[in-house]
Amino acid sequence: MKKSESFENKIERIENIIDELDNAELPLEELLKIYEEGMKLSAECREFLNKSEQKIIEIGKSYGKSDSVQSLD
Amino acid sequence: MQYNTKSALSVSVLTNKIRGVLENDFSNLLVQGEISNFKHHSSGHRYFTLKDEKAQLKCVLWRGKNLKFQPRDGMQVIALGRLTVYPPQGNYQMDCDDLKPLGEGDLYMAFEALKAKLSEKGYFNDDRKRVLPRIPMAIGVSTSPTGAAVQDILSTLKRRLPFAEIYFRPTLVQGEGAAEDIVDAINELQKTPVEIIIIGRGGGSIEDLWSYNTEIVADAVYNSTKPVISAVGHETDFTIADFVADLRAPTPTAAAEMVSPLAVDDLMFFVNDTAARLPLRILNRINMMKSGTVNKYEKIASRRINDEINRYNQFVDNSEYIFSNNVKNKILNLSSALKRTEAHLKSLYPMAPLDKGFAAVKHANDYIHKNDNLSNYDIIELIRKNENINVKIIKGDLKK
Repeated sequence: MKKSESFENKIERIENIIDELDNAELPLEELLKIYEEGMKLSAECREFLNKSEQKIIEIGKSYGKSDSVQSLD
Repeated sequence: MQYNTKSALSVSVLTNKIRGVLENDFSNLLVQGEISNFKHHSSGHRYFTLKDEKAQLKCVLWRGKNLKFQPRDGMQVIALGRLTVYPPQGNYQMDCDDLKPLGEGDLYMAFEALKAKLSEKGYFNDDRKRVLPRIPMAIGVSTSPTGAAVQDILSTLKRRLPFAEIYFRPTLVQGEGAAEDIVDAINELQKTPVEIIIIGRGGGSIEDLWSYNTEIVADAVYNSTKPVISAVGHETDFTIADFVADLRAPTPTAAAEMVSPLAVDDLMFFVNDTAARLPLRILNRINMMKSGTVNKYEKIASRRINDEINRYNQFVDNSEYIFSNNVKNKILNLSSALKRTEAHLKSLYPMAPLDKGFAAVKHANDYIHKNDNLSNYDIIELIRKNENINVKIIKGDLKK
């Protein structure tokens, strides 16, 4: 799942960026760079969360088929 | 109403009479009922109530009377024992010598036996419990397509993790073939992209839940490549699957909550908070850097000032040294010059020759000048070092 990895990775990256902005001994140019990265990531994550919709994939006894069991409404 | 007060019994006497009757007539009993309110006291004694639809019987199983199974509330048992009276509370109770599980009790024995076996094999070890993903994006669900459990799970996941994909495997959860279907479901869900699998069902009798107490289901959970959350029945129901699973959830709804420790609201809050706070953080940081720079300059400046002060001090010390030396020399010079001058002045002092024996001459109170003439019989004053003498001048030959 690329999407999942990238979303959780983005959240983790944001957490790192917050840490780095608070603690890391970085030169100003680096700080500005990660700051912009953080703002970009948070915007992307917000969009992802706003757009999300539950998706239910029903699988059957043989993977991919669901005719053998009563399907969920 | 007439009665003879003298025939009144004390409570103790009556209680003892009742006790005698009960213990005689009910000394060897077999009673069937459902266990409820079972309490294993720390003393080792076990207290419980046997009941059916219409009546209850207090029972006690003293410490040291061992059972081959673990009694639980709801179990049907046959109790072997006798009635006694407990005078302090004025009630009767059954002293049990043994309990035999009935029906479900056999299942409990099987449950305990399998639990012991799998525990021995390390199926329940804490060190094999996996850490669940923090934000699962794909979740497997194995439960009955009908009933409350699936609705509870899906609605909870929709609320908390609307972005997650749910792989739902409708599963037979009770009756013939259910255990096998649960095993298949776990195996099939493992092949999907799910990051975690929820297996479970709603509440029911021990027979209803029994599939989750089978060894094949335990094996499937044990061997699952994906973490498994087990949510079978109600909070008070424990199944073998619960013990083997990476996490046991008390209910299906709780399982859905446990796979979503960070719900969409939390994530949204975090993301919005980040967007709001990052600019503040970077500003703070820049301010800190600024003040850091100022501090650095201040340090340099203060070091320079110190250097200056030290240099100045040295200069002053040095100057003082030089200065004092000059003064000392000057004073020495002056004093020697002064001495010379003094000596010179002294040598110039007109009375100085008196020290050597010379005398000065005064006439008419004035020192006589070299051109002054003195007449015969003039009185002159001789001024010597230590005396003044008047002398009369007599001109001519004194021998005459």
